[in-house]
Amino acid sequence: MAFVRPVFYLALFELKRLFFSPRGWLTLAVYSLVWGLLFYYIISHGAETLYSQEFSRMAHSVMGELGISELYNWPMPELTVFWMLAIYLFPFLCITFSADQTVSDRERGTLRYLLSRVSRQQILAGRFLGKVLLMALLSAVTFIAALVYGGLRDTSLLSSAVPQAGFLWLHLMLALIPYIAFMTMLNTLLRSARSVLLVTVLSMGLMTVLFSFLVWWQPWLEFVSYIQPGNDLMQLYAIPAKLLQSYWQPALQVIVFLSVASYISQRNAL
Amino acid sequence: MSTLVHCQHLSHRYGSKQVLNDISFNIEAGAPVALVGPNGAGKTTLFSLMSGFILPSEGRIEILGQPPGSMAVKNQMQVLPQDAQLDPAFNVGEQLKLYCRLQGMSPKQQQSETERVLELVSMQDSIKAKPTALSHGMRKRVAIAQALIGAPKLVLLDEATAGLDPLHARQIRELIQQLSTDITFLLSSHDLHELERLCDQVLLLEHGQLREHRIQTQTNNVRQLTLVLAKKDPQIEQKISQLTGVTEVRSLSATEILISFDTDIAADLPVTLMAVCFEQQWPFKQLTSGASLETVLFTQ
Repeated sequence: MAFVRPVFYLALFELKRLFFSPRGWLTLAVYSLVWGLLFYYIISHGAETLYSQEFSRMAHSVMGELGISELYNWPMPELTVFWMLAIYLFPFLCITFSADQTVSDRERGTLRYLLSRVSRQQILAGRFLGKVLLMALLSAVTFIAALVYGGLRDTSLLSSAVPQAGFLWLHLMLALIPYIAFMTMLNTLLRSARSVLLVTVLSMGLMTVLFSFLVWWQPWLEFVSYIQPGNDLMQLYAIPAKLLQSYWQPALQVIVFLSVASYISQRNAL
Repeated sequence: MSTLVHCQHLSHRYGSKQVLNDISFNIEAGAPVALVGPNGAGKTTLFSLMSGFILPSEGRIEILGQPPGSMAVKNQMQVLPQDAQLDPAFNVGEQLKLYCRLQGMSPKQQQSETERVLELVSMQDSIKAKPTALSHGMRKRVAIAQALIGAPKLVLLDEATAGLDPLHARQIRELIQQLSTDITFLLSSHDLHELERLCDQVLLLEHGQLREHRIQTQTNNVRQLTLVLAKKDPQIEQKISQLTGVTEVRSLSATEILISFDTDIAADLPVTLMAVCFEQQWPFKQLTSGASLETVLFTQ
């Protein structure tokens, strides 16, 4: 408990940064606006199109070819379209929201005030947990918005869509947490939030190319791609049938990234 | 008297630059200790090593018998780091309350402790102010306040009064004096007069080496006086050296003279000297017991 309690306090303080500061409110306003536009222009029209008679057969065939025909059987079309967007948008949102965990405070010297009271590991864990809670809250609210949006059209769909949304949210979080841990690690290595953001995008791209080549060249090297956050994003499409089957991979990534972050932070000059 | 800091054969390098070279010292609980030295001498590096912000290249430090930065030392030692800034996103009160919370205080204690430490540095009216809305001096006072949260045994203050106006610098000196019955302060400053007023023990860092001095400790019957004049008579040193009991007269500057005398022979030399000053109409400004810290460190 002596280790956990300060971690929890630091995590809550991170939530306060978003929910109780003018800058945080501005961020939330932009976030809400973006999702509002997506709901209005993409999700509602996408749901209508996807399930219209004219496009039904074609959509079914395309989704079958992509191996995601299961999506077509989901009860609430709004949730289906939302999920297809969420899988790609949330990692980017996650990277943006968690780019600055400790790096600005380290450069500003603020971490020294904290370090007189808690350990480096507690600071890292607190900031990591804060970002996880933040993404959990934001994504949960967005899922609720998707349910409300679909429910307004047909309330009878809610009874089956709500538990499904819960499973989806859980899987989304499992996919996002490694990204946050990856950013925690980069925060100990780099000197600005912007560098963290750029290096993350660059390294994700490079890892995708490099690991694809390695697997094509030597299929037995597939295991190296397990270290890349979000390498199994496509598998998330047909979630309900495979609930929590691959939880070990995100867990492994989180352990590796946080261990490296802890090792580096112990040696960092503050 | 308990040992708060024990440094043994401590060295630190930044790349190929040797900043601290095999220094050893102890700090006992008690009166404030001064850390002085020219720019780049390694004062802030030594503070950072003692605070656990950086690791030494060689040697060992123990704070209250523990390695710097260890959990056992937290809350017992607080630091005012040089140039560290508070988080601009939160107001002063919110940040100090977080520090109180991390030190294990209840919500009620957090509020009262935050108010107490801000009051100590006369910043109670800025509890709701964002750090960006404060002047440099005010931010420094808030930073000093955070170092006084709880009941630390040892407080490291790096350039505590740098950037403060004379009134608040004096207030901080008085605060240090007042709190030094319970807290041992290690102070770094370029203001030697300030350190002279506060400290008994002086650690001088120069070219990575450490020299240790004690202020105003009379080990034998020889005492010193520093005489400051508006203008020095060319014959003054000769005339003073002829006074009974005077063993040495040294010119420190165009207006300052250091006089050593034997207390067994002339215990009342200060009175005699004052009388001579009036009699000779020397434009006398100040007579101080002992050599100034500046003299001790840089001219002896």
